Amino acid sequence: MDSQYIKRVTEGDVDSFRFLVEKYQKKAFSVAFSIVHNQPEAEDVVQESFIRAYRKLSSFRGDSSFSTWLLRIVVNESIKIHRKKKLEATYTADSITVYEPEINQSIGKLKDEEQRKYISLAMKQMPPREALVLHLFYIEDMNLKQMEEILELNADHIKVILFRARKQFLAILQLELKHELKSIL
Amino acid sequence: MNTNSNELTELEFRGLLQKNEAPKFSPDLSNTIMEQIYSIEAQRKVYLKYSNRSWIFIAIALLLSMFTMGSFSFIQVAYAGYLNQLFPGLYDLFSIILVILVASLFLYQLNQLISSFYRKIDLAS
Repeated sequence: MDSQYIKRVTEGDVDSFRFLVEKYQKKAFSVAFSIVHNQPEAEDVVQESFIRAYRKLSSFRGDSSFSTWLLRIVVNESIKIHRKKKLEATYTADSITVYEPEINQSIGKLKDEEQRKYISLAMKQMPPREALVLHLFYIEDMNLKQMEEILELNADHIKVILFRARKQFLAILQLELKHELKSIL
Repeated sequence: MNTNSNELTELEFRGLLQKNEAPKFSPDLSNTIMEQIYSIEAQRKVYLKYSNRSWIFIAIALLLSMFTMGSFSFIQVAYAGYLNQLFPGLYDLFSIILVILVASLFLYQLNQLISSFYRKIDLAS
């Protein structure tokens, strides 16, 4: 389906590009947001990424899917934006002992709205690479092969980041929920 | 499935993470992107128009320069003889005017070509 539209665009039918934009803007935005944690900047990243994709579309050979190719551009653009910003302080949560089931119980006792708030807060405090890996694997439901292509890292490296990111996310969430946990523990 | 009782299973962790608030983006995002794409396309067409036209003018200018400066000696002799027959010194006068015109045309078109080229680089960056 995508390949037909890509072919039409490369043949000069600019309007066909709208199909690709509308199909992938949500995914591109959520990936960008997982790195830059800011709506206007994530939108800028998405715009820039689609423009780059449009310019380079003739060089797209179809070795990977269009979405994988596009998301690689989105990740590179997001990292570029993130590098320009002053890095915000993040928790150094590696040494904290995490009580994972308690976190799950604790978050389960909160209202849906509050659950989303705390989880979003914890995600925003994650280092960009770790947040991105968690997002691609658990939210976008991607497999390691797709992630290898997007992140340009090998599967073993991704597994290590994934393991570390999971621990780090739960540690941050535990710190965020400290007051709620106190009432349970 | 995790065997350690102090760890969440993959499914539990996935469920937890999927509670993450889905970020919202402007409903006009796709329109904004397409407007930029249309604008790029329009500028690309202008660039192509300029570059094609410029190369034609530059080619004509070079041809005229060679003609005037005597690269086509046989034609030039006949041409000079004809002009000087009409009015002595007319060939020199005509040559000077032609060289100035050709040089101006050449520089103008070169400037147009370079400007549109740099505009393209600027858009790409």
